[in-house]
Amino acid sequence: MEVKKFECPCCNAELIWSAEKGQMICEYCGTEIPADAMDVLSDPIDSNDRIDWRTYDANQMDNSGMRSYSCKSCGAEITGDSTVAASECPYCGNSVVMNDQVQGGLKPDYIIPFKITKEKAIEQFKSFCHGKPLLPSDFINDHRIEKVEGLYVPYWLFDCKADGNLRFRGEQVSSHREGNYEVTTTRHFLLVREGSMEFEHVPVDAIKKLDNTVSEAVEPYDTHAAQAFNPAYLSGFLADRFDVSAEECKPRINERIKSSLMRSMENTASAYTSVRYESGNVSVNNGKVNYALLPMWLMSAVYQGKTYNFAINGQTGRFVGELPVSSAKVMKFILGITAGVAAVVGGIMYMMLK
Amino acid sequence: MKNMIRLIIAAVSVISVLCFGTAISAQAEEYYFYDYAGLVTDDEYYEIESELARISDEYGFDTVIYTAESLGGDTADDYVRNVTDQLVKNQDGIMFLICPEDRDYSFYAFGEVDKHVITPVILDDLADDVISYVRDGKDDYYSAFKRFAARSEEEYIYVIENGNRSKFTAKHILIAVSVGLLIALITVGIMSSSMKTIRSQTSADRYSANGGLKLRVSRDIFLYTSVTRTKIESSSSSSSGGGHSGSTSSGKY
Repeated sequence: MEVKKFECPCCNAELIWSAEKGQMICEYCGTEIPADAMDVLSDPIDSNDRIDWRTYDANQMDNSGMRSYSCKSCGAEITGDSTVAASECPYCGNSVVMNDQVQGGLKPDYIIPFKITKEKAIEQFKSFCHGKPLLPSDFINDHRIEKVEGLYVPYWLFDCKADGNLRFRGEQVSSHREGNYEVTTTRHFLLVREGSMEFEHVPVDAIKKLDNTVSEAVEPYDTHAAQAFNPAYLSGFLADRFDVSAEECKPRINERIKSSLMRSMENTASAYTSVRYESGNVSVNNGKVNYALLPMWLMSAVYQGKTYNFAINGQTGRFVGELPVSSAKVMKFILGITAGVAAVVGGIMYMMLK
Repeated sequence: MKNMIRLIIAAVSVISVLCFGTAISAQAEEYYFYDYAGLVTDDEYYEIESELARISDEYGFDTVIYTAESLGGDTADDYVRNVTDQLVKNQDGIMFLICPEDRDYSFYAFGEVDKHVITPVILDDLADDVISYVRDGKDDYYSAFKRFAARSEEEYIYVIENGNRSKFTAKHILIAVSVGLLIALITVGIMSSSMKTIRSQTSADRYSANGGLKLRVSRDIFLYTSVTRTKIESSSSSSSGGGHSGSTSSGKY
């Protein structure tokens, strides 16, 4: 008969049973493990995640009445109805050419209509620029905005139920003084958490031209407001077609869902000074994928020969982007603050040492 | 012989102070030269003692020399602070400790002398000046002690003629500028980070449905307890009660 060995959770040496104490002890480091912990310690957890996403069932798009434009520079292929006359690519700003015939594409399951107007988007831009001391003074005027385009960006929306079987290590630390010594006592715990979370319409953008960081930065979208797709919503706006498959987006969505589940479980261990993840697995069940068009304003501004791109969530108005920084203002602030603080600190030291 | 008698009286004073605290410390304040290591002759002793007494009396700053046979395992800085607390009643002055056995020395400026007369920079210079007489095997202790008395008096006179010195030095200006630069860099860093709002998402919390996490199992199992003991180091520069506070310049010669 095989004799099972148990490892000390403190030093990994072999634990032995102490009949006198009625618990496992480590002869190497002296750690004593209560008997009720042994059933969990002796049952190693499977660390392999199990992911089960369904394949997306595509519906063909009816493109009648739509125009197609292609950008020879970045390869973007955007569509719009007859009310839109696109001349520039919303991603790279280069000229686009209109195609004679719109090629077939997938019909989106959902669409979130634009709620933010073009004027409001420009207001958001100005508001973002306001109160930025390092912004070049000559940047803040309307003429800097080269173009503002309302674009329906293709996204994959993921629904699933995630189950987690996770283990954490928790520590409760307390300290007190004994004579000339600081005595720190640490109580070590094994935290077992099993549970599930449901996720609905987690978006991942489905185009290569738009940086994932930008498309995630404008989140969140209120996906409960999503409507069943109707081509009428596209009137007056451009729309892109996906060039990244749902399959290619799954690693990213798995990462975000696992991170959420782990963090939610970790937050249930609030009674500990510190908590760290030890092992576990996550399984994704009932994974469903939908194709949707989400609204986004894209704008760009050119300053000293460099193009700065900005994006605004067309539903919530959330603005993201990166503004230019004036080197002269940076130097002015560094010198000014250094001189001011040095004068105050130096003055205090002088008075104290006088 | 007289020297021996004075040394015995001084020794009795030290022992009395150690045994009975401050009750009879007044007796110890009359002496300014404690030559326990016997580094000078009787005549030299009286000459230096009277010179130190004159300077101390004239300027109001105790100017004391202490030669020790051994430091008994203490550092020169700790030893000179302890000896000063035991022997010197005046809160302002300077003590010169030298121990030929370990070839240790320490100069301890305390009170007003430390703050306005022999500031740390001056103290280092004074130490170099005095120790040059005994360094590299010269061992001219008599000249070193004479130079200590003369140099101390020079510094007292300088302050009388030119006003108090300040401990505020170029080092303090450098510290003030460094603090200013650090705060400036942090402030500009925060301003700079506000220029960029493009940040990726790390989770999908905002899209959780049906009330978020549903826990089936939540079990906290106690494993073991570990205890660490760390000795609390006491600050060497702090002084308690009626002790002196000041700066030292020490080393080996």
